[in-house]
Amino acid sequence: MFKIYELIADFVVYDLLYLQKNEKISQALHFFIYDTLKIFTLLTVIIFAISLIRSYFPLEKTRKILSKHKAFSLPLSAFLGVLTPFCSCSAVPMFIGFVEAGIPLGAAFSFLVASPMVNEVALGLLLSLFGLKVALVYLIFGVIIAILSGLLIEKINPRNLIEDYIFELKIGESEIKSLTFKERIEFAKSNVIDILKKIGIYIFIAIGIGGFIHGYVPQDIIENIMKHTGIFAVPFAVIVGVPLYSNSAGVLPIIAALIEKGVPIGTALSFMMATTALSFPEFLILKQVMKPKLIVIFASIVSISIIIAGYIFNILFGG
Amino acid sequence: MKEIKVVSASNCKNCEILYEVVSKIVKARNIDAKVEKVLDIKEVVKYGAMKTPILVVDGVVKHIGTPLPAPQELEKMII
Repeated sequence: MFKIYELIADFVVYDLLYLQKNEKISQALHFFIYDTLKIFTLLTVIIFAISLIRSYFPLEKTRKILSKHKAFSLPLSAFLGVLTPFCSCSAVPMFIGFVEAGIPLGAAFSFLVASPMVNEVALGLLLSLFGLKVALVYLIFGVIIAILSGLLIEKINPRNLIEDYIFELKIGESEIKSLTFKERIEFAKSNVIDILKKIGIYIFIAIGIGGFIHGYVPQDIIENIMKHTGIFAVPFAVIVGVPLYSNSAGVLPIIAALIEKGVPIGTALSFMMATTALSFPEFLILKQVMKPKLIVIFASIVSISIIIAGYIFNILFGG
Repeated sequence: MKEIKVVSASNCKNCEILYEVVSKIVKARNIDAKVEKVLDIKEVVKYGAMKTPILVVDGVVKHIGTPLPAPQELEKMII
């Protein structure tokens, strides 16, 4: 399918620039051209498709469905979280909206994990860098982690760690605007442009660094590092990932190049999960409705689940 | 004089953009209006919204959430 990009990269590197096939510079450059073309096309297509699907599940609709099926609200909210668009600025009103509709707190937390974690950028990057199987495993584990986190949080009964005032607020019934298909296409298109504007530059630089690693860094150096520190790669990826804002998921091409040189793939998936599911700006926003203790508990539960998932990935895709 | 409010729970980027674009339109079009940014979760909830930012003109909600409307559409909402 990407033969055409291969040919373009071949043409530029070997015919236009007269570089030799086995030189490091030509390998790095070839990687850079091929990956840039491939990743940006795939990202555009995938973000567009997922945005289109997500336009059918506005937050208001999800809230309505969840409040009708309270008995299954936990798995349902993790699942719907995947389909519902999420913006971390809206995390607090969303949380209040859920509480006000009588949706159990655990389910609200499940949503808070699933919705940002399994998003169009993550799936797009994983699909274009590692293929369908890895992207699907990410999606499935994302939902499982969201359900587990919700269950655990419900267990500790967080009611008294949440500010009292939100239980008194009443949200007015806002109408769900039904969009025409043309408007949905428009929405998906503007989403693609927005996202590429935000993360495009990171991806571009990351592919550049990835190209350098591909061409210049010898495999045995990385294999050696992993042999000595490999077991810590997953927690390290999570610790680095949490403080970063989700845009920084754009650095994934660097990790992809490292994986090619021997870093286990669970590291990449854990990093992606940590940057998207948890971020400091979101913690600050959540502080308006919950006590810091609950935020720490929430972040710990999610981080630990992601680390465990990372090890499972490494076993699943091991080698 | 019109009262235009950009309401949000926290000062996120989209709220910033909406506030700036609206202020620019008001200035460029010489509209007699006061543009105000309100960062209060209770205000957000009051307008029945779960998404931000919210654009309120003279007490009427004109827009909720992202993606933000194009400047031409915003102009229609304000005038």
